[in-house]
Amino acid sequence: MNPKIMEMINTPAFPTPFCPGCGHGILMNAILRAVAETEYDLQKMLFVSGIGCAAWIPSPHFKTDTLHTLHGRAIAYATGAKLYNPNLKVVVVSGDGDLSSIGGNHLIHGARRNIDLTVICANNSIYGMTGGQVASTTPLGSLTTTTPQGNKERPFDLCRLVKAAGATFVARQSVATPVPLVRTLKKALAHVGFAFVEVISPCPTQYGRRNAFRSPYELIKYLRENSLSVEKAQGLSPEQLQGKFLLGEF
Amino acid sequence: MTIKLLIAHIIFSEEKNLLEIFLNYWWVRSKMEGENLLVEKEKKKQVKIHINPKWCKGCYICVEICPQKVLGKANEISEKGFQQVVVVYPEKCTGCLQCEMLCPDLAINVEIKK
Amino acid sequence: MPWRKTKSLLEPGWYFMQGDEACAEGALAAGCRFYAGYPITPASEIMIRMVHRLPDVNGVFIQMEDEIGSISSVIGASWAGAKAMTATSGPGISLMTESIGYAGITETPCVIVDVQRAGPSTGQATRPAQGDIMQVKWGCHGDVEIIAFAPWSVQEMYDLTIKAFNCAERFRVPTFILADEAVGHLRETLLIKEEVEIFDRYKAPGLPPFGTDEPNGVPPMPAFGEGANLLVTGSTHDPWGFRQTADPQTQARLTERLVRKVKDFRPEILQTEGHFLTDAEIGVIAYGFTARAALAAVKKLRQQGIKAGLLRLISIWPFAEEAVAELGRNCRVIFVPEMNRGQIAGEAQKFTSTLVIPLPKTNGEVFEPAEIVETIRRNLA
Repeated sequence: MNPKIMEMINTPAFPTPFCPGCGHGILMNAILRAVAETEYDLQKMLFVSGIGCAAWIPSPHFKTDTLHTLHGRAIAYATGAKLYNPNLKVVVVSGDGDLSSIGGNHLIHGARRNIDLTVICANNSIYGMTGGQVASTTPLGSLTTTTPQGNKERPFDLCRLVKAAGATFVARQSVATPVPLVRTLKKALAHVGFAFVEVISPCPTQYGRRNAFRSPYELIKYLRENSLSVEKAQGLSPEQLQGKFLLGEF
Repeated sequence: MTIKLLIAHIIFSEEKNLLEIFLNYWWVRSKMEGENLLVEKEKKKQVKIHINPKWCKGCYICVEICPQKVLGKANEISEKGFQQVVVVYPEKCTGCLQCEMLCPDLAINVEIKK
Repeated sequence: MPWRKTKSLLEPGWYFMQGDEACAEGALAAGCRFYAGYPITPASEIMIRMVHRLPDVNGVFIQMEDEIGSISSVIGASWAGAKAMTATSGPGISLMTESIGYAGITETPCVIVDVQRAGPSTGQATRPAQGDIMQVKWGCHGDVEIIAFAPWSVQEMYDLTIKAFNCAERFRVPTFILADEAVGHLRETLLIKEEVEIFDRYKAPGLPPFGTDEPNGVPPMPAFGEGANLLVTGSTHDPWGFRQTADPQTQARLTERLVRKVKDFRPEILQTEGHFLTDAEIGVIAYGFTARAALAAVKKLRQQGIKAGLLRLISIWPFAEEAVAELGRNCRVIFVPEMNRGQIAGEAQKFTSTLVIPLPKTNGEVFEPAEIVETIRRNLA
């Protein structure tokens, strides 16, 4: 393990409150590694998050300035801090429901403005912290507590949404493949402008159990078997791409 | 190891045709590589796997994901209520770091000594 | 104590300005260098003044996508070190309410101007009212002791905005200017003095930013990027900012301190003005634009031989309990004309056994002195 990592965390806050096998824990691991492998001084960074399990990734685990805000509002709070002090390296880490449902407006405007932020969206396709309700990213047919007969609403393609809104760096990765994930996070951090990284980060407790994934490993395996790169996806038909995770830069 | 193999072929081969000697040598060598017999001991990474029992939550992603099946579950249930992850075959570890990278709790530290 | 005197931004002298504009100038004079807003009648003029003037002082302006974005970025900027402000009206306060609570529990200094208009809901956008008195105090769930001032003139729009910034910095609370459309759009003369007295937030590196040993203290406030490893969170937290979402002691200590840090220091904040109070028998309480008509009414009543006196509330929250109680001791009845259905009247009754009679007016128009005189006389008869 990169020796820097132990100095970047608030060890009294460990073990984390994340469930065993939580994708967000793997993402937290990846973010720390990505920052440790770059020139950024964690002390000069600011991590802003909303409400939800993903919002607990930086707060209180990262030993730097963290701003744990209200549900959906992370990007708006981050905009204020960044505009007033452009020397801060501001990273937003929050969940899919937080950023694209209640926070959807701030997401598209942040992208439109191309504010110099790195936004890491931990997408577990569900509202985990509150017990497993359907989210704007839940796949069709999935079982959640508020879709007991299966989800009938189409989910967002977050990368397409944010790209259309004007973000200048858009990528999707998954916690099942940590090496490309760290590589993309480093690129996103280096990008000047609105950088959006959607990270597929599964929730074994709320999503996995209800949708027949019996262990955290089964979710990781499923992700590995059903992901393909943007390049490989070129020329494939929509039927062939059904249910697949497209990873890479858009 | 490969030089010794080549010299052995040249000395002990019944054929005196260099081309056929070489082809024989090459065939034998690829078979040996396939069974991992040509790995030089000095080139193998020295790895030590540390698992932090205070932070490990027993999700077993590491146990399942390891390509060499180095990790396993302890026989007894710990006081936390699950079988702790333990290192079963440390000598098989190739230092791929999949377990360390996929641990949601930063509980695994794979120390690689060059 | 970090008070300091600084030169006024504008050249000292007399100006003729609109209330909203004076408010913006007051903010700049107090050191405001970040403004985020969203257009809303009748507060948009404040935003327009800010977009023109902030570049002169190297400040930052942004028009956000909605009021929630506005107050959010104000809080974010405040933690980045800025004196930050937003201005809106009733409907905007409704949207901002959750963030006001957030500013309360995180003890974020910020100034929010509410140029009140006839409501509820969309109401009459271009008409004055004073209907948001209770909303700014009790709108967010839970107990937050906010500070609020009600200016009655363009001069007070300038002066009280400066005081609001100083209070926000001193007590680390969201502070409100409870203006109304009448005083916001009014044009009057304004005197700018040579110097302005400003309070800057207290800094003490190494001390916890979210708790004090005293049960009513205001902690020091670092900014992002100063190496303080700030843990700002809206969840209940310990003095260092670590979340304590199940501990009763932490919750009790925090909620009690948030209230006491303002309430225990009321003398520093409270501001009232008495007119003809020494021998008054009929009390009148008024604030904001209404106080102008109330003062004229009191003078008229005196001419008619009625010993009326006016207690003008300049600070609305925390409430001037002692001044109201004192008024109640001397008077046999108290009238409260206000452009709402009796919000301050109800609050005043809590602190005196003298009968408080509300004089509500919610037709979107300001009070005329004559109607106050007539209603008081009718009630006295």
